[in-house]
Amino acid sequence: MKIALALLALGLAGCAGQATQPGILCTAGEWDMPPAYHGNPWAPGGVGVARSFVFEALFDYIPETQKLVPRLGRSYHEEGHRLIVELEPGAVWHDGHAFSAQDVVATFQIGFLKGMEIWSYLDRIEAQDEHTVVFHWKIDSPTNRLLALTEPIVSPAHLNQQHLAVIQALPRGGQTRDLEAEGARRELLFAERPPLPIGTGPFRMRKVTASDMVLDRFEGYYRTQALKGVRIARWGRNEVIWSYLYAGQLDAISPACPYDVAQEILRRNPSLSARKPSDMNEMGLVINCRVKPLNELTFRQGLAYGLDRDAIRQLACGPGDTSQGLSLGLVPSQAEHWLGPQFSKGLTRYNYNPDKARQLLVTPERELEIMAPAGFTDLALLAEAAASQMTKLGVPASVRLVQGELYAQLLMEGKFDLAAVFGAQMGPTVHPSTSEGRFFARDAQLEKACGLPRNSQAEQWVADLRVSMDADQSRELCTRLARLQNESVSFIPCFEKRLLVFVQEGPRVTGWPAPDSPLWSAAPLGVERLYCSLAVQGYLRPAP
Amino acid sequence: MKKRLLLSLLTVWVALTFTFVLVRQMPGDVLHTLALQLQNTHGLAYAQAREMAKLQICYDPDEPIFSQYCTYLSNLAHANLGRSTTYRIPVTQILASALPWTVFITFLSAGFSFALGVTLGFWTAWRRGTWLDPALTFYATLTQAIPDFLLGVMLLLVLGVQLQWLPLRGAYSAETDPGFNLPFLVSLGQHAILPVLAFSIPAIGSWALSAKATATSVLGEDYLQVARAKGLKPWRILRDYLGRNAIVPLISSLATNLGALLGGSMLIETLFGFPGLGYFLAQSIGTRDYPLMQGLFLLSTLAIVAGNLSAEWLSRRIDPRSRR
Amino acid sequence: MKRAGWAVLLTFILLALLGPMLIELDGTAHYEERFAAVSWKHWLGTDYAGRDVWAQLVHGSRDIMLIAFSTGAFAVLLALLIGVGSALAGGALDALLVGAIDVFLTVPSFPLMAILSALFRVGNPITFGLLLALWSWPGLARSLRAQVQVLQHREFMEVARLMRMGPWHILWGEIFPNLVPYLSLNFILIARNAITASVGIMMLGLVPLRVENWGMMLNLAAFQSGALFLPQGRLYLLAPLSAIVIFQYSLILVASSLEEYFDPRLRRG
Repeated sequence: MKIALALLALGLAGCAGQATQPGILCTAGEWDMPPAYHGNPWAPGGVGVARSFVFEALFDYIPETQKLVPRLGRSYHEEGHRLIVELEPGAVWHDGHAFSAQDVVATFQIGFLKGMEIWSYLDRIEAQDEHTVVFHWKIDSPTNRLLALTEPIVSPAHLNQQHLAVIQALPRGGQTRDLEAEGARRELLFAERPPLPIGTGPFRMRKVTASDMVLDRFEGYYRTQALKGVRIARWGRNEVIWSYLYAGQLDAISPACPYDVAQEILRRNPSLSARKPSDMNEMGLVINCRVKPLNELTFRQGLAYGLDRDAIRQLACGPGDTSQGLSLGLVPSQAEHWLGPQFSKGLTRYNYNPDKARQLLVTPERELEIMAPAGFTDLALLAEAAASQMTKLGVPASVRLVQGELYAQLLMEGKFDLAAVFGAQMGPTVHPSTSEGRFFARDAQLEKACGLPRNSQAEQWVADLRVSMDADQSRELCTRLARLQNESVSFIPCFEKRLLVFVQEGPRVTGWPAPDSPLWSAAPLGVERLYCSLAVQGYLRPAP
Repeated sequence: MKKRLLLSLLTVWVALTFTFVLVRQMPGDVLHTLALQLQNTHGLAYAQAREMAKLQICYDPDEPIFSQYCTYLSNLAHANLGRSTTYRIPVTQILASALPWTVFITFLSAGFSFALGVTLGFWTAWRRGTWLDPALTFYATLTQAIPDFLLGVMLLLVLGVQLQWLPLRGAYSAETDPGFNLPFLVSLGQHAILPVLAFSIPAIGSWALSAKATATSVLGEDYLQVARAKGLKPWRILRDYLGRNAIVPLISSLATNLGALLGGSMLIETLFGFPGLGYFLAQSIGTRDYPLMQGLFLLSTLAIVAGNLSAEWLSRRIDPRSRR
Repeated sequence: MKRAGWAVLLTFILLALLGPMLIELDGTAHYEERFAAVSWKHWLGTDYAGRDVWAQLVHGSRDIMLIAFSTGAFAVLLALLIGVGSALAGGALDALLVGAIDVFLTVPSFPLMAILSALFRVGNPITFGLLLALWSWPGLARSLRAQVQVLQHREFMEVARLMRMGPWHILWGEIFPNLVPYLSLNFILIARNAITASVGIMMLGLVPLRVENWGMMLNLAAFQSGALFLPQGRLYLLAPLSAIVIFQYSLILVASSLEEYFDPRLRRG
């Protein structure tokens, strides 16, 4: 008892230990706990959430304005099949070494080993001089520019000489690749375990423990940047994050959070406010079209008419936008941009209509199961709401939670009835080829899940869309794919997800952009990356 | 005792073999998932992607399980638990770093809750019929009905957020350096309170209930009536008569519990960002990291067996009558 | 107090038997009515989806009680058989059984449950109880063995042996009554743990998710809906928690009255 009291006294004596001063941005994230932690951005586990603060890309992309904000790159221009980038001359690595075009080359070269998407289109990359780098394309594609310009530059050439010489000699052609040599080199690359990452970014890693990451302002940074450092707490669980928000311990964070809890957090801590950018993905139910009675189109249509998506959205994702009865293979907010204003012409719209649903539905012989991954609150809630609605429609349904690893496997093997999933996702390049690809590309996850017969024509359309440089052709391809997707009713979209980003004005940091600022549209590309970009762009300042 | 030791070794071996087969039969094929991923990113045929995936996760499921088992055993004989497939470092290195933290927190909370709970339980058994009895039962029922994660979050909210008495996370403050220095030790103490409380609050109740039940069966004994009639001080009776007879099975279950605790404190460790075994267990299950999983399970097997052995040894020391 | 225990337990059992027929459970969401306060329409308010909490408790009670009782019964039976048997037998059989107990204690349950969840779907609460019992008996068996070993060296046992009483008489007449308090306590603890453990098994997908399972209700209240963080959510959090506590408390009261019935020495004035 005495010991307990003594401990309590100790606790009371020095609890100010975790209070942090103005100018330090506090957020939360995930990383491998020591001793597993390492500073090698390529090896499994990466460098954790610090990646967004320690490393930077040539440019930061803002989807809404389609603007590229200079970081390590100063400017770029395109000449024929080449992309030429002028680099920031003053940039320095955290170890003091000057940054040069060779480092950009090094990053993309090593990226080849990790299967970087850009190598499907890139022929070679060359350092023209100290501060100019040239990308030579073998195939033009609408995503090329973003793939090159927004990739974080993580590999200093001076620390990777031994890998570069070997990788440059590897054959690149589709059939002539030397997989064994690639594998051996990858092993050597992964085996490097520096204790902390070395980047060119505005923050430099000082320390990592199981619970905290401590980053200081990098004094050699080529721009003036006002924040003194970043402190990152381990994410643990969402409940922990909500507690930290109550306590005012976090300045910027985007947790999964029921709408009521969000309101309560905002009420309790008035210095917080919320931003709600679209997450560029659509959540819904994928239907396994192999099993009875889901193999019947009319039954699936019945379900599409019968589900009240707004009720599902309210429960699963308060701030989201309810889907309007169309499944386009595209995020709804992007539909008009890619398909034109007449996008819904000729498509069946499955608006909520329980009477029509009852006509189409038959009562199956058994209870249907909706699969959802355990631990993903929004998907589980979606499944639960849908199951209860189906039961009320006369199609008894229950929810089955499965562990994440198993979920992916069952999905691809088609061992489920319905499953709550992410449907259309626009990906880092915000291009429809990514989201349509999830439904129609070869080995696409959702196509495997729904089990409809392979459509080689659609596969070709997606392949064409990937490299189509012509706006009219892209629109035509998207329209065909959207029609195919909508009429097959293999996926019932429920809502477009919105992120909930909490930001705190003072006591440590001020200057968050207003809720309607287009800058927030970059949040789905990596919300921590956006925080760091806001600091570099001069929005964020230490609180007075 | 020598025979028991040998038997325990046999137990460890059987459990180890079981576990070896079990973890490999777990559904959720990581290799398959990774292969599909590689197939898409690298534009390879499935067979090629699968070979590549095998290399990446350093595991070949096509190797017969018996030959895998032989390799595992021969490595084990050299104290080599293999290399974690996700972290790519020796499993022993991870265990060596995480084990002390878990031992620290479990021993502290088990010791604290056992001492407090058993005393409470004995006292209540002694004072049967007073208000203590229902109060204790109610306390135990309530604290055990609250799921551990919920209790953890509640403690975090009250002691960490509302009152701001205690640090919210971690095993020590990131401003201090581990070692034998005062700031570190102080911060270690502060940080231990929340997880220890989260473990102990329900444990105190269950120890008290067990102690009460065991003591009640002893209380009926005639010699206690005699002792009481002799006018001995209650404290002495409690210690010399009741304690001695009732404590043996309790210690036995304490030792068993200690072993079990070492393996499974996942939720509380995640909640407080504590660098113990629980975190790595959760991760290794999620990624199907067989060597790491097996290393962790082996450790908890050893702990349980060691706990049981020491329980038997202790009870023989305390209670000479159970010697044969 | 003891009578109150019987009364409460009886109420629970009646509720489980008749309740679901009398009270209708509407599983669909009524978002506008979420986290409602106590009213005539909603006796215990509503959950995060606007579903009636009282109706959920009633509909969950039958399965919960069956799971709890069957787990407790199976586990205690197994533990008694193996723990007491091992202590009485002694010698090689004892060593073998102790080894078996140890193996069961040490083999991790998670991978096994994960494997089972891929193979089976458990629908029936009794089977569910049996499954849960498989993980609950070894600890109890071990401490029963230790207890019996202590008892065996007590004076009254020596007397019984000298009087050449048969082994069955020794078991039922002398050993068993001494174990009753310990057994009944463990029965209750195991039964209660079964409620918590059933949540873990639902999370593994071995059984379909049932929002009206009390353990699951508590889990959903704390996790999915964040009721702990909402002043209006306290009731939803407290309802299943109180149900579990009251249920367990009534079991304890009933158990202690049974104990006194079996062991007259415990009765007081």
